[in-house]
Parts: sequence; C-alpha cells; structure tokens
Amino acid sequence: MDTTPYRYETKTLVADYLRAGVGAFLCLAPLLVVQGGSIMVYILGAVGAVFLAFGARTFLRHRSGVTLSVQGLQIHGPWPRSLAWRDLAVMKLAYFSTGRTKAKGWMELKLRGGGTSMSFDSSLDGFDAVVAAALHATRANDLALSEVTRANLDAMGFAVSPGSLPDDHL
Amino acid sequence: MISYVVQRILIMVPTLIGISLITFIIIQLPPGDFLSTMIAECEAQGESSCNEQVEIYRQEFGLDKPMWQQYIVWVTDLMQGDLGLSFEYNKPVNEIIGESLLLTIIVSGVTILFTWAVAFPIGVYSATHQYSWGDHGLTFIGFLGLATPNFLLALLLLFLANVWFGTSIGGLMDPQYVDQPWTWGKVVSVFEHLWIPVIVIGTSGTAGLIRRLRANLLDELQKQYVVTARAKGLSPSRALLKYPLRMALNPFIADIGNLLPQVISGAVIVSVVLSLPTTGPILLRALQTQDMYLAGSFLMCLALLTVIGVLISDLLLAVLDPRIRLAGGAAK
Repeated sequence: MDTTPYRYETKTLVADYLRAGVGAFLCLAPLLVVQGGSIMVYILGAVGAVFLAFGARTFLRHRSGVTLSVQGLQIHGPWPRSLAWRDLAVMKLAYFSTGRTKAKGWMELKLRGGGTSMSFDSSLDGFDAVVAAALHATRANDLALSEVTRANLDAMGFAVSPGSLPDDHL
Repeated sequence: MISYVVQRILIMVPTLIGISLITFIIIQLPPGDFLSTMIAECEAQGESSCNEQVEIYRQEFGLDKPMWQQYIVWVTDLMQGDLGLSFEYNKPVNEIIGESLLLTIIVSGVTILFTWAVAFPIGVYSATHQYSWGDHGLTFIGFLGLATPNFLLALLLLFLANVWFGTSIGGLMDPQYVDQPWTWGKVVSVFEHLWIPVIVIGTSGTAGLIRRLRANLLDELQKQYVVTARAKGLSPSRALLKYPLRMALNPFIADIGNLLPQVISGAVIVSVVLSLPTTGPILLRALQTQDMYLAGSFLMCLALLTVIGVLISDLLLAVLDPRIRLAGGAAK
C-alpha cells in the first residue's frame, strides 16, 4: 500500500475556515448588543460554540496527514492516532448534502476500534483508498455493515452483495 | 456530521434575513395603518386634537423615521427578544402573547402526541393487514376524518356536549381560573377541557397520518431486503420494526418543519369557534386591525419556527438515513 500521507484539499479547508469565521462572527458579534440573561445569549452562544469547534476541527485537519498501510491507519499532526485493521470494529459511510437536488454532497467515513475513532470526509485526497482498505478489513474481521453504508459503498463503486443482509446483522 | 450542521446553519442566515425583509414589507403593504384608522375613529368622535395625539404616537413608535431605519430597529429588537409594542393594546407584544402562548403550546403539543399515538398503531395495522375487514373499516374512518372540516366537528361536539352532558365545553378552563395565576386547580381545569380541542384539531391530522403511514409502510414491506430478511427466518415483528417501519417514518421526520409553526398558529378557526384563549385569535385580530408589530412579530416567529423545524428534520434525516440517492456515482 502507498505510505504517502494523504491530506485534505486546500480548497475545502479554505471554504471551511471561511464558514467557521463567518458563522462565529454572525453568532458572537450580536452578543455585544443582546442584553445579558436573554435567551438569545444562550442560543447565539451555543451556535457560536459549534462554529468555533468546527474551526478547531478544520485547523486539526489542516495540520494533519493520514498514512495508510497494510497494518492500519495513522493520523499524524497535533492529535496523532492510529488504528490497526485487525482492531477495526465499526465502519460507517454516510452521505451528506445541503443542496436542493442532493447532487453536490460529500461522503463521511467513520472508523472505530481498539479504543480509538477516526472520521474522514471525501475531500481527503486518498479517500477512496482509505474506504477500500477499511472495507477489506471489515471482510477480514467479519464485520456487519448497515444498509446505509452498503448503499453508499455501492454508489462509490464497491460491490457489497446488493439486496442482502449479513446473518449477524439480522 | 459537524460539516453538515455548520453548512445547514449558515444556509439559515440569508433565509432568515430574506424572511425578515419580506415580513416587514408585507406588514407595511396594506394601504393606511393603525394610526390612520385611529385618526378616523378620533375624528368621528368629534375630538379636535386627533392629529397631535397621532403625531405623538408616530414619534413614540418610530414611524416618522425612514422605512429602512424602522426595519433595522425592528430586527435589532427582535434579536434581543423584544417583539415590539402593540398599537391596539398599547402593551409589549411579549406581554400580550404571554399566557396564550403557553396554552397554545399545551394544546398543540397534546394534539401532536394524540395524533401520533392513535395514527401509528392503526397505520401499522392497516399496512400489515392490507385489504382485511379491519383495514377497510379503519380506512373508512380515516377518510371520514379527512373529509370532516375541523370547525364543523367543533360545532357538532359543542352541541352534543351541551345536549348530552348539559355543559359548555368552550374555552380552555373554568371561568374562575381565567386571568388567574397558575394553581393545581387551574392545571386540572385545563386538562379537563383539553380533550375537545385535541380531538377536533387532531382528527384530520390523525386520518392523514394513517393514510400516509400505511402507504409508506406498504412500499417498504414489498422491497427486496424485507423478503430476504423473512427468508432468513427473521421474526415478523423484527422484520417489520428493524428497517421498514424506520424507513416509513422518514416522511414524518421531514414534516417537522411544518409541525413547529403549527404549534403557534395552528387551528385559528377552531380556536375562534371553541373560544380558546390561544395565540391564533390574537394573530387574526392583529391582521384585521393592522397592528403591524404584533402581526409582524407573529409572522416572524412562524417563519423562524419553520426554518428551525426544517433544520431539525434535516439533521434527524441526516442522522437516521444518510444514504446517497443519486442515479450516478458518489459525489466528491
């Protein structure tokens, strides 16, 4: 397997920084005019915190790299983690889109096992390779996949026996 | 998921700005305003200082300022939870809505619970016993509920309750509790009166929900994965509850966007017929009298609740069923 670290697309990171900045500004700036104790303070504060958390996550992604190997996955950067394929216990693949036609969306891969969890968006430059390796590990570890994950894998071009459910899922 | 949440919240911002602009324009659109009506009434009574009084009001409410300044003041106040001052009542809108908002939420909340509690088991039964006598009977009752206007049912129940029980079921509490602080007796009185509006408002919704749940569930039950699950020996109840019922509920989750504004505005005509002290009649009165801040605040609240409702349903759908639904491959 390729051991070159995968990184997130600069275009996506810039867009995410902008979203975090604009959102935090729109939520936190009105706090200067809203009277203390008003319910709006809590609402705007909570939503502002979400944008700040999103900004922090974008920064982590900006500074991190993902290495794929035969043994497992490694994330290098400010919050390093590793997941061995033999420890993989859960794989979920979700699709999100905010567009009206749902055409312009992105996939999100969640992996869990060995006391750690990882999440990757399809803007990671080696996303397809990571999904393929994770799918291979689920087969090796005899893991069940949800119907949603199967449908999304199918849409990405990975054959996962359509129309059937694994016995342990029933 | 956080990317999705952030993007969905950001989409709300221009939507809300647009809605606030449209709302403000709408409440300014009708010819004349509350103060011109006031001048006419004042002059009809033969008073001489009408124009001076109205001028004082105009300055007090900021109506002498340019339209864009009025809009900025209105939006800034809204963001601080100040819904403005009602012309008609000469009181803050928050104070006018007060208790009626709580009673509206109670009536609507119990109605939603009633609708779901009745419709879900019936809908599931009808789908799993398609074309049985029970299905036909429940379908007939469902169509009857859909075809009966709420206000007509309200009038009918008012009449029957009076004839059979000799009681008036109008209002939402016994007269001695009206405008009184909340006590245990008042709570009991509200719940004693609640069943009529709940049945009246909830009937058509229940009937509609039964029909839709039956149709959605029938679609799901005929899919290949259900056949596979049954063939593999899964028990009928698990083969029903595990995926088909969950999938059949997606349209109802998507409907939350419509549900939230109904909590505030719902059943205006029924509220008038049954003399319910809810927000519906207040909204109606505000629109009739061109009480612009009261009506505008209501409309803005309804729009805000719609946008929040759509956000909640989108987030729930994203959590429950984040699958791609494209003809082609995955989007990157």
